[in-house]
Amino acid sequence: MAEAIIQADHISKIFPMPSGEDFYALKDISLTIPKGKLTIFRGRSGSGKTTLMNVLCALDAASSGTVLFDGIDLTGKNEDECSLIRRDRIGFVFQSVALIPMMTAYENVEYALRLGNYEGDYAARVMECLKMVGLANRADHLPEEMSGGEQQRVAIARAIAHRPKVIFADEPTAELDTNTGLQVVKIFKELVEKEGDTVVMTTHDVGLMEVGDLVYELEDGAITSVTHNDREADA
Amino acid sequence: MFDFVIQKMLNCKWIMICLLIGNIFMVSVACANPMYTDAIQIKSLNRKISDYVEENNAYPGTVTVDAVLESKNGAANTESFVKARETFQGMQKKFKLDSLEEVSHYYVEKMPALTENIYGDAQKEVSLAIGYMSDFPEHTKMVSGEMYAGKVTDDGIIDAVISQKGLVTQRLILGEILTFDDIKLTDGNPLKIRISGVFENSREDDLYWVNSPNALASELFIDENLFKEQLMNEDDPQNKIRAAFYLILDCTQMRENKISHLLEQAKWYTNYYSQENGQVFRANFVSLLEDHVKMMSRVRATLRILQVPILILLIAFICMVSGQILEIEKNDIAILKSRGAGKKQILRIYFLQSAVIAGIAVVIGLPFAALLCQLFGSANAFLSFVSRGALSLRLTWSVLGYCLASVILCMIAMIVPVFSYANTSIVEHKQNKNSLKKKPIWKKFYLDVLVTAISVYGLFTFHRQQDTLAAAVKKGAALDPLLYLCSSLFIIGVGLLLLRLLPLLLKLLFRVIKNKLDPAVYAAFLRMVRSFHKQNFIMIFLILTLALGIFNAKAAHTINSNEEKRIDYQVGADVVLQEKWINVNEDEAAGAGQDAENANAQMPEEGPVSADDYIEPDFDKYLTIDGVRHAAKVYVTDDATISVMTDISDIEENMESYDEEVIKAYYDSKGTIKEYAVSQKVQLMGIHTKNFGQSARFDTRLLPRHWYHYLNAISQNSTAVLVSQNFHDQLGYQLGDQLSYITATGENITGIIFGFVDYWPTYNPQTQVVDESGNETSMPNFLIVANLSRLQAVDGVLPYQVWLDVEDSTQCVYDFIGEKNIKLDYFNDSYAAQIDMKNDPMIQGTNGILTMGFIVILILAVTGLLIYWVISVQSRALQFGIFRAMGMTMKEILRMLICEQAIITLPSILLGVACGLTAARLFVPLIQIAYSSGDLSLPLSMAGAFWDISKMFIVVFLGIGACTWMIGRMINRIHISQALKLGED
Repeated sequence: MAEAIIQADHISKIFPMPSGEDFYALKDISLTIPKGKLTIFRGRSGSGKTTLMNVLCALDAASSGTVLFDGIDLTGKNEDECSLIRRDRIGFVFQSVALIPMMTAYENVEYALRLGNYEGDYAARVMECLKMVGLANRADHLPEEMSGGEQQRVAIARAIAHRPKVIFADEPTAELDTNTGLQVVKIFKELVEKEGDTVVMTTHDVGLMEVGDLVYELEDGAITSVTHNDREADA
Repeated sequence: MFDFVIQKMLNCKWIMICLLIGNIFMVSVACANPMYTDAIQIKSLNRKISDYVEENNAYPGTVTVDAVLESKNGAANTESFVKARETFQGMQKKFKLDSLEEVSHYYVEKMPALTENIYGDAQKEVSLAIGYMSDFPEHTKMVSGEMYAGKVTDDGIIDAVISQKGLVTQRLILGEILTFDDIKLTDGNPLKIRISGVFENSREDDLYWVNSPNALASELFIDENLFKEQLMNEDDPQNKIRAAFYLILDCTQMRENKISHLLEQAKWYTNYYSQENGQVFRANFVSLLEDHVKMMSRVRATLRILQVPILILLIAFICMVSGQILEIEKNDIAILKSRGAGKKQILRIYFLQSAVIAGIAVVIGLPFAALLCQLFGSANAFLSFVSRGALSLRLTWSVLGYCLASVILCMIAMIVPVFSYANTSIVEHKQNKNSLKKKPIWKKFYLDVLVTAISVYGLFTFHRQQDTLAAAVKKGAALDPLLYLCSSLFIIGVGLLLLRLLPLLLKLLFRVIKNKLDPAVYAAFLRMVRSFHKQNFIMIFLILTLALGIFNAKAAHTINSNEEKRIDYQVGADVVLQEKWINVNEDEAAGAGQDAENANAQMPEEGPVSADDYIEPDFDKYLTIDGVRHAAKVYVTDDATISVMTDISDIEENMESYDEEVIKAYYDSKGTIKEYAVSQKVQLMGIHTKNFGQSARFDTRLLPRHWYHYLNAISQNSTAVLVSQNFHDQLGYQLGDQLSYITATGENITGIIFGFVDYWPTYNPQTQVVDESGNETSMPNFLIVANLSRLQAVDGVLPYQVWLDVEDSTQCVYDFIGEKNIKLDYFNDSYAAQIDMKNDPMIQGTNGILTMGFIVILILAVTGLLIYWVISVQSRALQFGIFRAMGMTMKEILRMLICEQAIITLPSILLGVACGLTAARLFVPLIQIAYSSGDLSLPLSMAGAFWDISKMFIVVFLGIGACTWMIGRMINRIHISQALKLGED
């Protein structure tokens, strides 16, 4: 078993309802995210996978339980502290294409470097990342000039640019057609296999379960099954 | 549907309130103009009426018809006379005003008469008229003797009364009998009159006395019936009878809606009576009402013009806000469309919404307009108010018209943007959503260049026609609307032009500093560089508001300060007065001179004055007045002359245009004319330099050096004089030349020219004269300023003016004069003149409207900024989510937004200020022309409006501060995960 980069212990997320009752979005979840692997949270809409991911990546705080991210306890961290953790250690890919509209592909990627205090040659790294997603030739294009799949690839390039510890992708294929979706997933796999990056992804697509090294299935805020697809074993 | 619309409006109530503010302003600004002009016309007419009474000592409602009844070559003009009288009797109904008095005055013209009295004094000849006035006894009281009897005595004598003044001036006594050989009674005998009594008017303010008893001093009044029987004999008049019919109309009923009718009627009657010989129609109110109509049309036109930019700005504001609302609601519109709602249905929703807003705007806007009018009415200067009597405001048809028009405009401004949204489907909408490539129309068609070019062309044209403009204003024309429009176009054009250049500069700057910026500032810059045209609207809006604000402030300050300066200059000091000096000669001519109107009329035009005739009143008393700082004796006369050698040919060609006494011929030894000397009138001022310098008000910038230098110069030498510049330019005098001039007493004095001055307190370099053909020509005025001591040494002490410098109010002078019962020949109070100026409807309205414009502009600028930012933040929630997710801290996001704000507002503010100042510099001098009254043209100086502009900045920066605060709050509320979810929708 690979070294864990994230360790969650008994985390719950409670949303107060207008009726006065509490709604448990996450119910006492404990899990580990291994380093250098592609971990997938799968579940239907409303199963709590995005909430879980938000808690793990310091976008949202758990109502109870602890999250240890790369050795840092996220419990009790304020927004700004969380921001600093995110900017250095985490890369995001969102369901809807979340590029900054007035920045070109190049600038979008470069912006992650600026924010993440990347020490090194910006231009080389940006082009490297764009090449990795196969879009080196679209560097100067604005998001509006690219297709959805291309935009999502740029988003991936941006997510990996500053060499984060973990890349989180929330339903990255949901708005894409099957082929483009597969392309995107392929990139994630390559990142894990070739670069040794850690990727955490949510999906509702049963077809993608094969792709992940580790798959957590969620239902009603609780993990219902854990599947290990041990590649090394296969080899 | 209605419920749906209301619900929709409540959902975004804040922005609806902004829209409502725009609409309320629109309605109230539009309605305030007609409301104010209506109220001010009543006020100004009343004022004009009272001024008329004061200045002319006559009631403006008086209508007079003169007619003559006589028999020429055996034929009497009885028919035309009776017709004239009958027409007069129908007049009051035709004028449709109540009459206060109707008086008929018949008289036989002044005829010689021989007197005989009981004391047996020697007979003397007097010249008197005989007449009667209708209802005479009711309006008189007897001072002595008794009222005339209604019958002829047995000796054929008729009793008559005479006014008190008549008795004195004609040197008659009670009971004296006068025989008029030239006036025949019906029996053919000459008229014999016995003076039975002396009368005076029974009430001081009796309108019956169109001519006061004093003015009727040379007329004897007899009984009406006796006059008709014995002297008139209407069918076959044996004497020439003159009649004056007076109709005194109630002036307080003269209102705007009756004015044109009154003037038309007056014109008709003038024409009607002019057709008969000896018949004349006069209505005192004609010139007054004509003036009033002219002035009101000028005020109306000016205010309308001044209002236009504010209205345009308001329309732009309404367009902007409704655009923003649509921007928020475009998703809903697209959804409605995708669910099958037609374009018509969507338009109907927005029509209903705008109708609701406009409806509320009318309800609030009209009372608000009334409030604005009161504000106008109390405007004393720009952004300064005093309490004056409240204006009586009315809801007239024209106000309602303006209201309706403004509502229609508002609704158009709110509905037009809907069309483009109602047309796009959800797909197009998504495609257009973030388009960065769309160029605005004005950029595409170079409208900015075009507009700037038009305005600059206009500016040059107006500059060339400056004189024509000034002449037109003097004839009563208002500010040329095109001129003001040009100034607004200039601001818009230049603003847009600069906005075209600004992105280039920004790009350049960004390229240079890009790598040194921290992520937040970098993102802000990048957004602004890439989406600059999206910010155009708020920027041009800011530029326009600031530029207009500055322009308004500058224009108002310049107009006010130049008028104030002109008044100061024309009056000369805080108070300038001349006491009535006791004239030894006049005093001898009995104490009859109490009545001002006759004293003036009888003032004989005699030879040169002499100091021996006058007794100098005490001057030092003025220095004892508490509140007077300085006083100066200033001797002023227009009767001094100089001799100007003139070319022979010039004189001989135009000999007839000169009065004989002004030309003097010089002969050579052979007796032929060598040259002519033309005597030229000059204005001579004698001053005591130190006192004058302390008391006179003079703008030091009018002369190349401080005017004290000039005073000091002539104080060194008693013969030194300062002369006007035209002595040098037109007569060729140089510094140090000797100048000999003849004073009003005829003494010849030689002075040495120590300096030339373009301007001097009260001195007007040119007078505009209208010649017989109606052309205006300007005549130069020559001025000599000499030492008073020198003039007095030669001329003696002649009546001089006293110039006073007071501490802070001239009231002390009034009190002093009243207390000491000082009689004055001349009095001028610059404080009062300034108050008069500020009460002038034109100036007052201008100050009011410019102030109102300024305040509206400020409110709009701040509201505009707020809306813009609130919506900008709201619509970018997803982006902030991304930034936050990527690890940007709250502070960084706020920094980014502040930086964005700075990039938008700072250049806008700078450009706005630059535009406003430039436009003011270029256009205000031309606009000022419309306000310059009189023919004195002082060099125009632009008034600084530093404090007002600072106020504007304070408000704008407060607005920006409020924006930042609100944005901070909004961002704090954005929950990242929610924002990201929102984006997913």
